[in-house]
Amino acid sequence: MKYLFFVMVSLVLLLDFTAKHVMAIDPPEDEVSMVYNLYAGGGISVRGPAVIVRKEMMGKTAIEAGARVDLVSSASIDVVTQASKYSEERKEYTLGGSHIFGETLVSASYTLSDEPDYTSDTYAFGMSHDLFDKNLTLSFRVARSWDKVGQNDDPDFGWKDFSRTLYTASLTQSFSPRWLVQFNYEVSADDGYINNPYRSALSTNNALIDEHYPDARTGQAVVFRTRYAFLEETSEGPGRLESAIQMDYRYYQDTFDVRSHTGKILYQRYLVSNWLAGAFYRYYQQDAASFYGDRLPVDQLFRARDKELSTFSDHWLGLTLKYKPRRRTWGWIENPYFKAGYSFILFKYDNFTDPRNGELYSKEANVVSASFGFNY
Amino acid sequence: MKTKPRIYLSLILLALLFSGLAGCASVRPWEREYLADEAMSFDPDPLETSWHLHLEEVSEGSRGGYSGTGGGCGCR
Repeated sequence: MKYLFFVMVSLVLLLDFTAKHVMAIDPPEDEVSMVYNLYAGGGISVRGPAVIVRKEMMGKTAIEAGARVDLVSSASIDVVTQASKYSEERKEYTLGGSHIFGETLVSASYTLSDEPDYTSDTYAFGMSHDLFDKNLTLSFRVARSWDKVGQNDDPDFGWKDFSRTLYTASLTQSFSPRWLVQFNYEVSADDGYINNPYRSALSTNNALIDEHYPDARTGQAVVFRTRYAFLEETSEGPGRLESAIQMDYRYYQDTFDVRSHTGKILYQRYLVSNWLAGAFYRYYQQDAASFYGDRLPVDQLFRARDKELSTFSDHWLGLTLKYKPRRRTWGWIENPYFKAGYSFILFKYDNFTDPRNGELYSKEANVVSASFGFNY
Repeated sequence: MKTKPRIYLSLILLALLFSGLAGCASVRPWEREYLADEAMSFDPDPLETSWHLHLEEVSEGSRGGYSGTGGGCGCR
């Protein structure tokens, strides 16, 4: 990890000293964004609002505050086969700030997440730097969370510690006035109580046995993204931007031996000048963790029957529509927009069975969002 | 993580490739009209993105690569 940090810092310094001409990063704006999200599938329902308010100060500084509430109701397959249906509320609050130092944007934030059996404090620090006439943007982010894991049904369980550290590096390059490429690399390191305190594994003779996870997990993700603009053809040459296409690929692996491939394609098109429609398809496939099993020998040291650690694939298909009224000012509200989104997800598990019927498990989910935002 | 040195070497090579290409690619400030359009943003709606990343993280065994997300999961 120290070696990686040294490499990244060296690259920043190298690029900084070799930059011939550097443009200033765009100044922040006063902005409000609100969204209401809904997820329903596999017996789980999550719904709730979120808001974020950003305030610019003296042209170079911005502060922002955000809040999110999730109302969770769960009768998932794990819950109905091992416990009782439950409902709970999760609240999340974020406070952050950023400042432009010369040609570098530095940001920091704190996030508190609270639910009856889980609390999390996350601190994040990031920096972005534009180079070569803004053709290359270099970003780094470090985030660390300190979490407490509880168990609602067992007062003797107490609170177990869990922490996660994320190191993210990102390079975004504009290769032409119509073509962007981004490369991201992220390392995540988990320590502490990684188990789910409510779930059990199944032995080879179908008896419930305790799950037992290693107490550390390190993962690496590599992401490649590219976006290309298509222009309107006019008699005088290229006109306004008509549509854009984005393609993503991610490879992930970790010390649990989970390996996955993720591919996504997104297409956006202006229907008329103030209506932006989008459609995406995302495919995900992963191999199971080394200690995962649908049925496990009792004497195996590490044991998990978490379907998220099994071998499975999922397909996401989504649509979005964004509308910006032609009238740009409504009193103190400027540049308002409305956006709606819907996506459908199909999960198919290759080695996770439904204990109620012995068949391979699959589930479908629907995701809906409605958002509104403006400058002020 | 037997592949660690190979991954770090790939990262360094890719970073050098990007920085080398950056010198060749010359999109001038007055040519950035299309790149500044919201349809060309990788993350036009941070609230929506964080919600989708959270859903992916609690539904799948992989995480990360796009941006960090914190907090509990509400997902058992």
